[in-house]
Amino acid sequence: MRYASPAIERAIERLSRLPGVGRKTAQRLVFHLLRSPQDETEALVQALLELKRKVRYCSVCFNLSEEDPCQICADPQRDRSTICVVEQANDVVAVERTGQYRGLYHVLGGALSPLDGIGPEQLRVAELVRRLEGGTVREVIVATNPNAEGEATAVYLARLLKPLGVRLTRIARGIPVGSDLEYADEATLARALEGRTDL
Amino acid sequence: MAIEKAEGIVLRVRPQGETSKLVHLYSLQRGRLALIAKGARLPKSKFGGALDVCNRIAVVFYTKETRELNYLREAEILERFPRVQADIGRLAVAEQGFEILLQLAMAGEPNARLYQLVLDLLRGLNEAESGLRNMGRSFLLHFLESSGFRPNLDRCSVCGRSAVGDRATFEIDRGSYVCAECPPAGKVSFPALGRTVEWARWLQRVPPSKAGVPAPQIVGQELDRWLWLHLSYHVEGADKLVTFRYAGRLALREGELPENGDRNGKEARD
Repeated sequence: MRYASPAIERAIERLSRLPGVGRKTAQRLVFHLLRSPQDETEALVQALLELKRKVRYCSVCFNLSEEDPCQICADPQRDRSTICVVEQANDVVAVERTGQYRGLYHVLGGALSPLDGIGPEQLRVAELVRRLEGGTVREVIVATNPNAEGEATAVYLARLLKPLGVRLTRIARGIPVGSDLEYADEATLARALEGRTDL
Repeated sequence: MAIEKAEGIVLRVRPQGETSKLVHLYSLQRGRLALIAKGARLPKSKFGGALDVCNRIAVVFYTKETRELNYLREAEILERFPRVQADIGRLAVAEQGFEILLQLAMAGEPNARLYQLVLDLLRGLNEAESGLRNMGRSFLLHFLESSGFRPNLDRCSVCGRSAVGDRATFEIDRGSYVCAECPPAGKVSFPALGRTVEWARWLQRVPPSKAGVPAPQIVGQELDRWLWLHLSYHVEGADKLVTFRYAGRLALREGELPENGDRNGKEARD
């Protein structure tokens, strides 16, 4: 059904372009916005505009930030000898939440994926190599996802970076904290055994 | 709603919503199958590491006739291919085969021969030290055969002799070749070395797992070009495949033999 108001139609059409939003959901969102107070809708519009205007990639680590370099790269308290390599900016947030890591980051922008046509040239691999050439970095922690694409990316990076003389480590994979060993599948358990540590 | 069981190979996994995954399988019982694995992205998911690309898994899932996507209830690993999963060169060849199944194999139509072929490719890639690209080419040629598009490389389409000569011409539209002695008869053709035809014949004969012999670089390039032309000419939708270009970029890293390596390659192959 088409609405008499072109403004409603335009809003529905625009919202339904978002991932996971169909026309029905877009209609619901539009009618919710129409019912909301004026200042609520304006605040949303302002937030979206600021998002596009202010947020950019850090030119050092490619994390999303309002400053360049980002707060993490600019922080003098961070350990500059360690870089944690992650796939996406969301992963930086996940690692930061642990409060355990005080080094720097490098966001690759994805993982190697033949089915999606993503090769090393589509990722920020060359930029990572350039960061290591300075000689300040002593350790690179590869924190790509523990799936086939993430593993293949980790092994590819290991081959590429080993000749640069830095220590290369991979985050541990295995049994989640709080789960039961008997329910672990063989892939998870095998990786947990591979990554065992001394007590 | 019914509950079904199947065994299959995980071809592709994509995030679905906040915590679920969409898993594409090539199953022995149902052919290509898409399943929603609810909660599979959570750390304590009951599916654990089963839903990783290349794994051969046993699944239990709910089906409904009116629904294209089915819900996964259980998944258990039957066989893993850790070297394929951790090496981009091996993974690229495996995913070339997976993309062919995802794009070109009919959904819901089982094909036991094709299933065994994918398994053979994965087992070969997991064990092999070289010749990975040829395993992928052999898989593709066998796929073409099982789909009814097998190129006829047994003899020259004009004179009928099996000897090829130094040069030959692949006739793309006729799905055959002509030898050095005969004039091309097809409308779409691709000139190549005679030994490229011989390699292609050999790759048609051996299963993917036995095709792990590196081809000379020039032969490899010609084989890829010819296979691409043949596939995109005869099989609808083949022109959209992205992994062909990807595997080509990794070809040199895999260590295909330089031009003068032909004799050794042929000896090993024969």
